[in-house]
Amino acid sequence: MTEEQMLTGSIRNNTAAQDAFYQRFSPRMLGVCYRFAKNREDAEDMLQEGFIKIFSELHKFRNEGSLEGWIRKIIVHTCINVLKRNKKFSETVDIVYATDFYSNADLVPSILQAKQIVECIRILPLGYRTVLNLYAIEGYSHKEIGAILEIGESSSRSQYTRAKAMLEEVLIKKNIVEKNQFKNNFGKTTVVNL
Amino acid sequence: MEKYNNYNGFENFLRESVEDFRMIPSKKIWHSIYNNMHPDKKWPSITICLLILGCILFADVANNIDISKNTIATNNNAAKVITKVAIVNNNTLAQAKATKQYLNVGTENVGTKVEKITNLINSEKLNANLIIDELETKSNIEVIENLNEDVKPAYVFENTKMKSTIKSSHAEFLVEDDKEKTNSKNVTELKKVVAKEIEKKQTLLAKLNESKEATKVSSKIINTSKSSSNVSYYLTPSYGYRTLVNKNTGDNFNGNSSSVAFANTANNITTDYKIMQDKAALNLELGVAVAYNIAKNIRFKIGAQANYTNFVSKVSALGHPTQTTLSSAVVQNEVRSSIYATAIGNATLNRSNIQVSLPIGADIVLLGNEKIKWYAGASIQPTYVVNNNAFVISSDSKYYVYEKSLQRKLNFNTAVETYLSFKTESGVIFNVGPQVRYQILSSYKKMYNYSEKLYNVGIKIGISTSF
Repeated sequence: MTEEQMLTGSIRNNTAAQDAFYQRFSPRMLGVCYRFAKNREDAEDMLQEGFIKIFSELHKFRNEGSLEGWIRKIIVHTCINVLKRNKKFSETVDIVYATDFYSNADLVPSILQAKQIVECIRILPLGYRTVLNLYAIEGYSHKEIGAILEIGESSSRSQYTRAKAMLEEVLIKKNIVEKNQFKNNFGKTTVVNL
Repeated sequence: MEKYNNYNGFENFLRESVEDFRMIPSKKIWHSIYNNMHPDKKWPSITICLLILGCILFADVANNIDISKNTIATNNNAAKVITKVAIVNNNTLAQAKATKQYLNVGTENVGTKVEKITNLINSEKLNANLIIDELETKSNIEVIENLNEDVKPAYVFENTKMKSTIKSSHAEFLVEDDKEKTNSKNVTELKKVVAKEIEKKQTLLAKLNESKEATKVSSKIINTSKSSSNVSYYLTPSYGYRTLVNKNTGDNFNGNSSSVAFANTANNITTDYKIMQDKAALNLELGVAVAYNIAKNIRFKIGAQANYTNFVSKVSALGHPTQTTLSSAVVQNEVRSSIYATAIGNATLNRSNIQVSLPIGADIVLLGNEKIKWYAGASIQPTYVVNNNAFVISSDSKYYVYEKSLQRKLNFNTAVETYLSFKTESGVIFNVGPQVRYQILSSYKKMYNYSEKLYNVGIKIGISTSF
């Protein structure tokens, strides 16, 4: 079934088309949710909510960009909404999270690199993790992040800086990246010693 | 988004690393999404549950009826037994008196000792005790003839012995010690027998008391079940119409406005489409329901019902097929159909459908006595649309198009009613009162631009019988 057929069929509430649509996009979108979520169950809840929204809004898709990009945007917004329901982002960064971070870092499994990196991202404190996901991976600006998370732009920047430092630290510790890898190649990253 | 323009190596590394990261979601996620997207598909399971509930209720009611009948039979048997006891007791008491009289015939010498025995017999109601074992199956005569083997020899012996003694010689009976001893032995044996029979009698009396208790309990059951359930057959002639709302604009559609017509001529469809008029029409509802009293003034009801609903649209007809589009609420200006041909001249579109439904609800007694009661009731009715003539409005609001595929097959109706109930002497109850029925979901599927909800106002007439 082509993407066009899936799209048209899903809009017409065709079960087979919706099933194909879901099977096509859900694995990657669950990966996105998993980066934001606390655990797999939460990620699946986000995915479920996101796809319900996608199917109900699918008729609004205008073919102006890629379908996957449009879906991803809805999924990301759903993840943020779910997180916002449970937590105020302005209150998420504190010393407790930093302590937890170091204790959890040893638990990261040494498997495939993508999985390892995702797991490293997931052990970051909620606020750091969310900002890092939105900025570094999803490509949102700090201004947009500030608006989405209802925090200041500067707060978004500072949280990202700390998140980045923490993540680099753990990536190096797990031998996923070499020390000074980014510094040598690109010269813009500073590892903050926490 | 900044589209990664300002990113350095770290961000690029992260993004590229996690780009292909995928996880397989568990199957339950898709089921949840599917159920959310297709709520209609839940109907079969809901309907099955309701049917099972109805069957359980029916089985419960039916079982209660059987229990009542059995209890009545048991009571009758118990009554027969009690009657037999009474008859037998009377007869045996008469027998005892006769025996006493017989024993008293003779000399006064014998009389003193014989009197003791007779008094003993009378005081313990010996004869009744001897017969009690045989109460249920045998007549009084048979009982006497088939006395307990332990009792019979002594009893018969006593009688024959006394008889022969009295007949042969009074003096001899008094003087001879052996005979006196024999009588003495007989008295002792008779006392033993009496003791045994008293014990048996007590056992039987206990059983009879249990039977009386059972009778009381079963009477209560009978009294309760008599009025706990009834079955009603009803019909409701009504007038039916609809509400029609454009989901995109939220505007109510007035069926008598000039905005929609069927189009009248081939060349002049834009100037003369003011003729269309929607009018209410006669509808009918037929059904059967079982009501079960769950409290003094409240009863639960469940049933099956068929609805014929319709209203008419008087329109001008096209003289030839034409093509038009149907707006979809999902995709703008999606072409659904359609070519529709009619005869030239005015036409009447009969917008009818036939539904079968499963009303479930409750009635409350507002006022009344044994003869007349005033009820208020409500029900929810899962409905399946068996057949319909579906005419939908085209995107340009100029045509009605016959498009059956947009019709929703499963729906919900709700009904509220109030009625008076008259009970005749024969036990048949007549019900009559107004009813309003409203369709909860639109007649059309979600993708159609308009939401149509049918409603009916009518008079419900029915008869009920208790069971």
